[in-house]
Amino acid sequence: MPRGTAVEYTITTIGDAARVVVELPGRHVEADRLGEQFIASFVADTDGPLKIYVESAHGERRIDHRARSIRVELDQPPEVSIIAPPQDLVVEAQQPVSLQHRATDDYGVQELTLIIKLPNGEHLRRAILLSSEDSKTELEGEEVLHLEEFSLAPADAVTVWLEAKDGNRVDGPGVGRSEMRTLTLASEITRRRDRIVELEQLLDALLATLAVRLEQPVPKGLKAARRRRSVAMGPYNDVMSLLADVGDHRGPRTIPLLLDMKKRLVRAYQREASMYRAGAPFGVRERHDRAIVTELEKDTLVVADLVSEARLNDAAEIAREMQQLRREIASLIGELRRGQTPELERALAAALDRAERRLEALRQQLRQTMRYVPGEFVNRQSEQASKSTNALQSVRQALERGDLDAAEAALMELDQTIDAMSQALAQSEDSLVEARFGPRERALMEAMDTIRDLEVAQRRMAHKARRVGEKAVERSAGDRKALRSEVRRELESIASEVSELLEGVNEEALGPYESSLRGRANERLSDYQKALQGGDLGESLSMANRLAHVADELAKDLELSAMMFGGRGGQTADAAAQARQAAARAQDLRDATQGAVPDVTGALTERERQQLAEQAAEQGKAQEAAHQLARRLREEVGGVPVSDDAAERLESIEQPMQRAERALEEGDPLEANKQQEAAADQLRRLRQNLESLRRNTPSDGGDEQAEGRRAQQRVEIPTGRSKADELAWRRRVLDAMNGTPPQGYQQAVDDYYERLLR
Amino acid sequence: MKRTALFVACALLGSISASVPAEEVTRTEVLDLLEASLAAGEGAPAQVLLEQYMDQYPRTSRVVELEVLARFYAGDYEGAVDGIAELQADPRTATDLGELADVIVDTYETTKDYETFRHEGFEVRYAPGQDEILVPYAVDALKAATEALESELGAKMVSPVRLEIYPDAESLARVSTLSVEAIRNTGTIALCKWGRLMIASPGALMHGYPWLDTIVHEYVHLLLTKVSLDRAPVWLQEGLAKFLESRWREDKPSLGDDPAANKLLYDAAKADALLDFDQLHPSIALLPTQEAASLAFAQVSSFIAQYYRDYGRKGVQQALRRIGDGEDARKALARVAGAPWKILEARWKNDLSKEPEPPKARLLPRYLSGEANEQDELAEVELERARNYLRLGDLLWARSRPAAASVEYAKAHEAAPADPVVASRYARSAIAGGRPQQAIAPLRRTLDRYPTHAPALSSLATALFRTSKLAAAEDAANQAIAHNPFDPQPHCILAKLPVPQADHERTLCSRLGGIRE
Repeated sequence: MPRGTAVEYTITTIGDAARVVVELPGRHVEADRLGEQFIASFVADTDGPLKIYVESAHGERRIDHRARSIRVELDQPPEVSIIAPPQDLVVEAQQPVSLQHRATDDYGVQELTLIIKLPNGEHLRRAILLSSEDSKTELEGEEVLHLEEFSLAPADAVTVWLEAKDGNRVDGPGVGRSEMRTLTLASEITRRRDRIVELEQLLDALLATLAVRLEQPVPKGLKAARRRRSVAMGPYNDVMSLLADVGDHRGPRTIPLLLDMKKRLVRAYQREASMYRAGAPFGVRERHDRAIVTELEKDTLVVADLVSEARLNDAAEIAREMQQLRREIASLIGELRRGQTPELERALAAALDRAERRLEALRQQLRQTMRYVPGEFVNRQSEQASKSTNALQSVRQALERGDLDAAEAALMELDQTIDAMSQALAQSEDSLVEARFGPRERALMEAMDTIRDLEVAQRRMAHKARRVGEKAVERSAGDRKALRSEVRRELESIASEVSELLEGVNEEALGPYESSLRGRANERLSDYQKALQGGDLGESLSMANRLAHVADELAKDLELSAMMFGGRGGQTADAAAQARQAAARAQDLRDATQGAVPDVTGALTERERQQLAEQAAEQGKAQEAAHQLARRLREEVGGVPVSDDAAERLESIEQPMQRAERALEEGDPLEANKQQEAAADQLRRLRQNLESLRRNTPSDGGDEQAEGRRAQQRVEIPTGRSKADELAWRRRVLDAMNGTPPQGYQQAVDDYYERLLR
Repeated sequence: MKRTALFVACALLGSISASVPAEEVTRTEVLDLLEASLAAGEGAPAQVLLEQYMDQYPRTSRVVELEVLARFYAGDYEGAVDGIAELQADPRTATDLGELADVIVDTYETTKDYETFRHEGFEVRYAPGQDEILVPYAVDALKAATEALESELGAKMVSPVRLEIYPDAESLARVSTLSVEAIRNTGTIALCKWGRLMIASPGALMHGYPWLDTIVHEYVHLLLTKVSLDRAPVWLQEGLAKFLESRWREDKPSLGDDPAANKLLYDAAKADALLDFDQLHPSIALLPTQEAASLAFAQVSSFIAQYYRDYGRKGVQQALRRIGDGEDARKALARVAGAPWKILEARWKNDLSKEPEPPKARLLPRYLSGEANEQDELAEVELERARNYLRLGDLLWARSRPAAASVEYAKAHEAAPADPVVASRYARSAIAGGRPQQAIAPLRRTLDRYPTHAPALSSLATALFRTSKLAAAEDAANQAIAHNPFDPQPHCILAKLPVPQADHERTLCSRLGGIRE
């Protein structure tokens, strides 16, 4: 029975009995007579035998020899658990944390307390159920925590758990404790840590993928080979899911390298899949397997290097944080000299605690880094980290003694070791990057220079072609003014009709998509009119083409809707008919504009033809240079291609370049110009993309330096665009749309440009 | 020193029992004798002389200074420190001890908690803890060396031979005048000074080092100090010490087979870039690099080997006696040889130029423990392709994928078959994968070029044991222990072999963590 149970033991004697005594371990209990029976009352508190002594009225004593005993069960403390969150959390600053709990006890839970352990070791206790309240055998509830109320520094963590007391009055209350949860304040520090964890997970997944292939060679039989492949696909899918979102890794290399890696892996696995589908022979299968193994080996090494870099970078960041903390401690000691207050002392103790924790994190990081890099990269720093810890300890001890001079002297020493450590870490990072990524980085820089040169050359060629084209247009127009005004009137009139027709499409019949199509059509029409006003027939024709396309799309969509849902009183069908008229008229506008474009080719002089031929040769060379650069970008430097992605994009830029060359050969300077501008724009975008990835580097001197850099940067004040600028800009955007977007992204790219132009 | 005093000193150093009646020597002569005794590295006779002196003469500051030195040489560091305190207590006393006083105090501080093991004429001091396991091996080597070196050099120590083993390079630096930087640069891990042998524990280096030969190397220095009254130049000392360091385990002295050093010597001879013998002064440990130190050892030992071959041990002993008498080392060697020094040197260089080119082997760096890891070794692999495969193998190995790791190691080995780091890891994975036979050939090839590569020795012992080549396994295990006694593997192998010390090895095997592969 549970310990503390009040027992009433009823004894029925055979024959006359004057007295009954119950012997318990360590005591005797006299039973009270109640009629024919005797009742012994006691509280069960110890295990042991129970004996009954019966005394007759004549004084004769008998013992009941039957074995009886009492077994006392100790009361179990309450059971209390944290239901949510199910594991430790990293919490954003303003994010409330819901702590759901459950507590049970047979006696009843008398008290329930949430305990919060702060980073400085202090424990906060929050009552959830007070002892004054009624106890409950089962209790569920939720507490909401806001980490901001604990004045945590970045990456600080609180540990929380629940303590429940029961109402056991025999042994005193039993205390049950829940498991603990650590809630870490999200910050740049935790994000850095997360990024390292992500990279390590990727490394593990890559190694698992590689190991599966290495551990079992490709079997000769197709069936067995398929089985092996299906086993190998498991870890590969893990890799792919980790690569699906490369997150927000910092540094100039990580994201491009991971994206390139993904692309190469997908390609290699797709090739293998198609080969297996086709039932390729053993030799081919083996060759492909070797290719995948080689690819995985390269990728593994790259990711291992990225992990090392990220770890060293994190250590360097911690060292920079330490510098900030040291300044904070110095300032607090300075204030302490002026007057000692409990707040100041607390703040100082908290800063010292934080510095200690960060140093410990640094040492741990250096230990981890040694798993991947030679000791030369981290030995000196580890030594300095130990010295820093000693110096910090000296600061603390001096403060405890109240010796501020000694504390400041120790702080100076700390400053020196941290400074030396920061420099050494930065140097290590540089050396590691140079050793592992240097050649590739240099190749990429060279490629960026070449892309910039190509872009400049392409712009220069576009300019030349444009000038030739403009002169030819002028010549072919002859009586320019008369022709222009006549043509313009006609075109303006058609444009105005299109505008009216579009306006006439009943708004109420349009869904969101149709509304957007009509909006786009109106935009194109407006562009058309502006280009016409500027006398740019080429641009006008381009806009007319787009207008016709969008208007046709609108009409088709409405017609389809009308077939399915007639709409209120045939509203949709009317709108579809109106849109169809607008589309037909937009096509008229396109044809009329086409007819108005002068015969530029025919108007070229012999010298201009020769110029265009020379430009065609130059354009051909530019395209060849782009081709060669793409090839170089695919070449392996330091184990991996310099940039598969950049190579692919360059190859797509070759297309407008080729078209420009063809147009130049055919004597069409306007088309050539258009293609050249498109190529130049795509080269610019590629260059900017590569530059922005390079700029995505961690700051060298912490926030302060970053602030400093920002303060020195020239602020560009946006100015209003002139009309000509506006037109030129719009033209460039539209030309850029001629580039081939990646497969599956056509619509997204179109929408993006449309939004830009709106 | 006067010749008479020297004669007495030599007699006294020869046998402590042959004491000199005090009345026969003057007060100055006793002090001279005492100094000679210290110069010879003999602390015990120095103490006897000092006691005799102090029975008759007053205890001046000079005497206290000598007392400090005698105690220091005899290993009584606490007594020596007391003497220094006595000297320093009187500000009028000018002492000649200089920086040595600091070294003495540091030595006391460093070693005050050390354990001491005494056996016959040997005394081994070591830091409590794992270095304890070194003691029996060290004493065996010293005993064997005493007999062998007495026959080679005609001398033996009167004082107990004291060996001190320091757990790390920092401790060695504290008790010597060497800096950790110098230790790191030249890979010096031992020295003989102030009448004792000092070595860093093999645990102070990542894979140990030939520590038993090194103890004997320092022992040779101790005897040379005595024989030449510390007058032999560094190059001669180092040449002889290197040449004789393996004599304790061989019947005849020989040049150790060290292809990397031989290659350095060959290249330097070809390029006429041999070091001048005098460049070795004051210590090989102070040369700028490990490479320069290795070349220096290779040069002087090859010269001595040739001299020994031509003039025998008697020739060497005669030359040392002459040097002890104050003759210049070059002249002494030349006089014994009956040929001018220039001829001796030219003959040696000429012979060097006729040597065939040794196999290509690189100098393996010695890493201090805690300052390097497997990644550092990996960085030493010259061929990038091999290095990459090795990294992959290591990454897989660390994730408990030995079979996959083995494939990568095999690729690395194929790319760089002569690399010791690659071969060792390849062998390790082959053994772990149950293919010990495949490990033997690469390991033997590696050890031909890098005979002191401890991981290869250990793996070879394992592979031989697994393939039931028990005698060869025993030999390899003993060699492995002579390089890295903290690797449990060779102890575990010996524990399973029918050797007399099997029980002891079994204890060490389990103490060090048990069998690995």
